This record gives sequence, structure tokens and C-alpha cells, in this order.
Amino acid sequence: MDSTRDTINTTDEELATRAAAGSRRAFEELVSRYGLRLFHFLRSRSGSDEDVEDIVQETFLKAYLNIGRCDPRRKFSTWLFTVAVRLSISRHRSQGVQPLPLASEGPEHPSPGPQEALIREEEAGKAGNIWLQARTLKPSEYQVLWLRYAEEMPMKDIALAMKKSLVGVRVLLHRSRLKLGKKLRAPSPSAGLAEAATAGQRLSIL
Amino acid sequence: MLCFIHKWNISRAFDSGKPLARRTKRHLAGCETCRAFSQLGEEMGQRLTDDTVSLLKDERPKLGEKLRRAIDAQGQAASPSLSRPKRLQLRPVSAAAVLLAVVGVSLIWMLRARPARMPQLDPLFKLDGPRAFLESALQKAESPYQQEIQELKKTLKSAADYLAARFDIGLGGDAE
Repeated sequence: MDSTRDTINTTDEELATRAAAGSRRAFEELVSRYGLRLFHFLRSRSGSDEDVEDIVQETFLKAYLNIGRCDPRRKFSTWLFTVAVRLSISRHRSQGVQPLPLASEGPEHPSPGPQEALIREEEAGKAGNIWLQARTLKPSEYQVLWLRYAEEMPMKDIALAMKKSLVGVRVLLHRSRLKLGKKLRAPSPSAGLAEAATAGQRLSIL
Repeated sequence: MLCFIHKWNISRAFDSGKPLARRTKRHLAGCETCRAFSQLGEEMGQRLTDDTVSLLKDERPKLGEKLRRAIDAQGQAASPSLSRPKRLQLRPVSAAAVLLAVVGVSLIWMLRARPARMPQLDPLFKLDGPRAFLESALQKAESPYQQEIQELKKTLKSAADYLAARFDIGLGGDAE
């Protein structure tokens, strides 16, 4: 029987092996380790938090049912994020939402209109957390940054999880950095609007 | 001018952990834009790593009730032994090759010319039955060509008899 201390000190791969052998406790530990991480990782691809939670749960269910196929010699996190990426894409497709292929993507963000984007950027500016700012990038750009900096995944694993070539991942990372850098340097759009309004008032006064 | 190449080199150095190329280092000394990019990239990387901690400070999620119910409904997780064995996962190319080989071999076998078989005589000779049985067996064992020749001989003989009777001519030894 697993003790709590045991599960906390063991690696993800050992926990996955135990879960495959039927240990519910080991799987629960994996859920507690990766639940929030997956939630933040998938946030860029889905509109509402409820949708993201659903995909996270679906990911874990799929992982639970197929955990026997997870190779213990490879990193569990890579496998789990791969499952999550594929599920989120298929979910978007099945719901008839604008598909979000990993290779080339259309809109900057799947759901938000200009107003919502403005609110999101405003929130990001207020909170000061760079990840909120990063969430305004394209989903694949956000996700590659997440895997690289939040998960600290090796490039090879990122390529595997995102179904891209190594060069593709490097290019995507480079592009994401350039874009995020521009966003960080640029003044917030609402601030710009406010400035414009003030300037307009000034003009009318003049 | 060539800043985009150096920016790419800088970005690559961030990801690979390798030091910058000499040429890019030289360029950095003289280019303020690239220096700013390099500095911003470093700061951004640091911030992205640091801010993750604050983002993940929230309460650790427990196994959701919905997920728990779904797991209960699905039963036990698939054990490694139940998972598909890797040896049986034939890749398409090898599967196609095997299929081709099977089709080829069967085609060759079907189209191969088969000579008319002669019935085996040996077992018949081994029999200790009466001579008549052996003779009839031998007769049966004759090849179709010999049978055909016999038939032709009979036909010719009957034709010769008929002609001899009709025109009263002697043939061979019957002339006397």
C-alpha cells in the first residue's frame, strides 16, 4: 500500500508505473502535480475556464485509461502534455470552433473580439504577471513558451509534445520571444486610447 | 541590416545553452538593437520562469469529482500487460512488404506448370494378387498416349477388314 510520503517523494515515471499497476493513489498524486499546470497550459486554446477544466479532466481520464502505454523510460510530463495538446485540438474541431492547427495559425487568439482582447491585455498589465501578457499571443506561441520556461522541457520533448520538428520549435520560440518583447515594450492599448481621448479633449479645448 | 540573423543566433543560444558565436558577439558590441534584444530575451526568460511560481501557487487541485466518477465508470486503468505489445505493431511498410511477398508466392504457386503425372506403378507390383489383376492394373497404368495408340490400331484394323471385305483385296499375309 502506498503511503502519502512515498507518493510525494517518488518521480512522475514511478507514479505512472504504479498507476498502471492499479494504484489510484499514485494517479491522484499525478493529478495533483499536473492539474494546475495543464490548466494554465491549455488556457490559451480555450475560451472559458469551464472549457479548460473540461479538457484537463478529459486529459487525465484519457491518461488514466491509457497509462499502460506510457513508456516509463520516457518523461511522463511529455506524454501527458502531448495527450493534452491533441485533445484540445480535437475538442475545438468537434465543437466546430475555428480549428487551431499547431503548424500555422490564424487569429491571435481563438475567441476574443477586440473588446475582450483589450480587457485581457488590461488585466495582464494590472496583474504584472508576464504569463497573462503571454496569453494574448497565438496559442502555439503561448504553449511553446510554457513548455520551455514553465515546464523547463528539453527542446526534443517540446517538439514531441507539439508534433513539430526541432527547427520548427526553435523558430516558434524565436517568434514568440520577439512578439512578447514587443508587447512588453509597447504601451497598453487602453492607455493609448486614454491618451488619445485626452489629446482629443485638449484639441477641442483649443 | 543583418540584425535578424544575429537575433536568430541569440535566440538559438538561449535555447541550446551554447555560447554565442564570435561574429555575433562582435556584432553585439556595435549594435544597440541586438544588445537590447539579447538583454530583453534574458530578462523575459527569467521573468517567465519566476512568474510561473506565483501562477502555480494556487491550491493544489484534487482529483475532480467528475473525473473520479468517470474513472469509476471506466474501471481499472489499462495495465502495461494489457497494452498493445510493441512487437505486434506492424508498421505499414513492413506489413505491405509481407503482404506482397505472400501474394507473389501464391501467384507463382498457382501459375507454375504442372506436368501430367504418371500413376505410380511400384505399389501395384508389390501386390501379391492374381496375374489378371496385375495385368488389368498395368493396363490401367498405361499412359494416355499408349491408350490412344491402341485405339488407333483398332480403328485402322477394322477399317482394313472392311476394305478387304468390300473390295476383295488381300492385305499382307491374308493374300494367300
